[in-house]
Amino acid sequence: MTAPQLEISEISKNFGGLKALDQVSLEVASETIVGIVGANGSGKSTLFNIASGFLKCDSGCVRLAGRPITGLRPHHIAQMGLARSFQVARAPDQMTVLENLLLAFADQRGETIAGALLGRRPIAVQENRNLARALEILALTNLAAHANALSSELSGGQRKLLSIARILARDASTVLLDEPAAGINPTLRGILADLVRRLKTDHGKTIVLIEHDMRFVGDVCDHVFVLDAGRLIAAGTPAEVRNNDIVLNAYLGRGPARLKAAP
Amino acid sequence: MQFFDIFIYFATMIGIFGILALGLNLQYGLTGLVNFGHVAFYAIGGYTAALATIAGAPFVVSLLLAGIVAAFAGLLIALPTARLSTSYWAITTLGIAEIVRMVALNEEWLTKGSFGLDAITPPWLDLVPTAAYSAFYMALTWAVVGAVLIVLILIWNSPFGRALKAIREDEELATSLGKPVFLLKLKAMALGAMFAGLAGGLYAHYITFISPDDFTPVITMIVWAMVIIGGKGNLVGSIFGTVVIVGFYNSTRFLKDYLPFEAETVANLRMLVIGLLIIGVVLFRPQGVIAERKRIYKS
Amino acid sequence: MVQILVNSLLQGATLGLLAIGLTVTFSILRFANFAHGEFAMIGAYAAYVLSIVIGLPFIIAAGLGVAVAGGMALFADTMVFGRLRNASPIALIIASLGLSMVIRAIFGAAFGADEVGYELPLASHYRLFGAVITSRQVTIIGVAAASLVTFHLLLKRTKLGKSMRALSDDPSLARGRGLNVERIIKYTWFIGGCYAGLTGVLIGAESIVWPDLGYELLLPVFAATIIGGVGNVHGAVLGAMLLALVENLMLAINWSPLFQAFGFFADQDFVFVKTQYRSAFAFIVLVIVLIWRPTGILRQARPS
Repeated sequence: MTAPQLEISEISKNFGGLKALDQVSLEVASETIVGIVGANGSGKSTLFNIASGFLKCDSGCVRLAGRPITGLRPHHIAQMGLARSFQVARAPDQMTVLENLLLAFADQRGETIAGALLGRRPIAVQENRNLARALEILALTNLAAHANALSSELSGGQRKLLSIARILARDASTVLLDEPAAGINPTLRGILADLVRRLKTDHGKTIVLIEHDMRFVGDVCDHVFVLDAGRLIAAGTPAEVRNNDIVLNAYLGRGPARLKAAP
Repeated sequence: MQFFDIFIYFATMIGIFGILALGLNLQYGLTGLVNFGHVAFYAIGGYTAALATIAGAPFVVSLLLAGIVAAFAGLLIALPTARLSTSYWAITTLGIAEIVRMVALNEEWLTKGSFGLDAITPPWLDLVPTAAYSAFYMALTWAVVGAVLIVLILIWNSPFGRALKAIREDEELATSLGKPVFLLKLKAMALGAMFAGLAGGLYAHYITFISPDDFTPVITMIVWAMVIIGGKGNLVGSIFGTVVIVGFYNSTRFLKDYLPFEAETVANLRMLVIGLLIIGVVLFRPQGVIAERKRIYKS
Repeated sequence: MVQILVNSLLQGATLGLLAIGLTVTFSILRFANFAHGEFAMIGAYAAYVLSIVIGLPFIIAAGLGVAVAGGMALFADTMVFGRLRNASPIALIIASLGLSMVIRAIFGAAFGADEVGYELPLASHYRLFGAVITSRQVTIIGVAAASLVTFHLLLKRTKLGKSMRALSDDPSLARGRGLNVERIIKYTWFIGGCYAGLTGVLIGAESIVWPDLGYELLLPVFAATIIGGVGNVHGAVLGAMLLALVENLMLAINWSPLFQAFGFFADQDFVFVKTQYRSAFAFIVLVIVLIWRPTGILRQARPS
């Protein structure tokens, strides 16, 4: 049995008395799409932040393709092959869509001073290659028309596509998506679901996503984990989880829960 | 004849301050680092070059030393501060500049304190005819400006420059894309500090006398005015801003015989205008006169 | 030693007054106001003009001077900071830098570089456990203490104070609860400015009034604010006291034994830090705190 691509073991995190995560353990098999669902405040984003290195856990361990990454700096973890998006899609004010993508490519030799000043020929070659690939990605994500537009000029839905585009450019083996389908119209949701599935089938990526939209989860996820108040309370296929008594109990009678049921 | 001399003086000072502005533009305009201690690197460069030349080193060595020591200082200063948020960074860099000035003022064994260092021999004095020397030095200064501009243009358009810009725009995003933000900030500070050090070295050999009074916090503020009025993130903007501010600053000095004010009042009025310009730019044209250019890629 | 404590109490109390104004604007508006020291200078000069030039009794001049400083702070918000409510902290900081230049230029042009002083009755000296303290210094400490207590009561007991605290903790929540955010901000500026002005007046009363009064306080007041935790008013005061104590101690200690242990200054029995480096200590303490505990030594008023 191959090692899981992403392994989270007994992660706990306290925020000054508030238990955000309590001994959460889960495994994500390679080349699968996994969903993490739960009400607001159940600890999903905290888990993402810890896995990607933006937050330090109090105890527990995270392993990426078998290598421990707990406590490593976030940029280091990113360089090791973990890419993530943010709940609010980032769209830098003064950078164009193409600049965003070119920024995202990994292993750029021009990103040092010496490289910028002395290695100009090989860097130009790499830049051109990346530029061609970037244009392909923009075509795939319906953003080709905005290639040279400032990313801040994009609409909310387009910004979500830009996040995915950056992640495609990044070409990381493991991808964490934070609410990719939030606040977008059904057409776009379909495009996004397609892109996420393609990440797995065409590119062999492992994807973990946080979502409230159960329809989206049902469309793309192979496996689902349910968090509630910092604890893992259920796991299984989307269908299993939807009909799980524990899960249903956790959400019945709880006002702010926003698990949108499938039709 | 006198007009020519004034022109050369202006041009040389614009060159020196232009290098300062370009360095700060790299730190603030491109990378978003609020460096309120820029004058410290100017001072460190000036004193290093002066001490080296007085000790007998050739000009080129003195100038290079000025740049290297200042770059090193930039690195040292960035080390404890690079993880701080904007406000804290600004305060800390201001504090460091003040300490540098205090050291220059008080450590007389090194810097001769308020007496300053004089007898800094200008370079190649015997090779250039005296009448043409000031023009020569102006050309020398602008040669350095040219070199600095070339380096900055290369950096600005490189993936390194793009990573710096990403830090300015969205540090978390840059981090999530694998950019070593802390290290990049160190590099940006060191590079900008190096340019400031070169400017200090050029200044020391031009005026041939430096003292702590040449390196007050006001200099930092003036250079900031140049960068944000001229246009942050735009290299031509920095030169433009330098021309405007240096022109304004020094013209009032030359015109003070014609103005009905005392010298001190004129100095205050200068500050008033520059302060109002800074506020005006922030309120009404935050991108500066010559805005940052959008990077267009042709497919 | 007692003298050190007395001096520290005096300096710490006045610096604390300045720091509380800074800490509330810093936490509510999320930027370091580099013009804050200038409000102290404005108060000091205003009191001078009112008492010496116009001839009002000092107490009235002082009170009005404080109000002028508060008014100027409010004016600064109306003209500059108020237009930048949605701007980045960088823009606000730069604007405050420009503002400090403008204020200093105006006062420099008006009053020149000379120092001025208040005409106050001669102070009597007291001896306290071997230290010397003047009646004026006692008054200053008393006024500072009373003002600090007043501010504490303002924050804890009044509706405005509670609103200020709510705004400092969580602006969006405060807005949601229907608080008139703009009004609270205006009040914060006025009060912060008044306290800054009071600092200037007290400094002028203790020594003299000079144009760089505000500017020279900038680093120490930032240090005190950050050490105590931005938004933490008690922290700001304690930070100021701590800073004053550290400064005075560092200057008073004979460092010779320490240096000799490392082999330096072997021929000198007395090694003191030059007094000119006084504000360097504020800065060094600040850097140490920033590296070690960026949220301040005391708990910050709001979670980071």
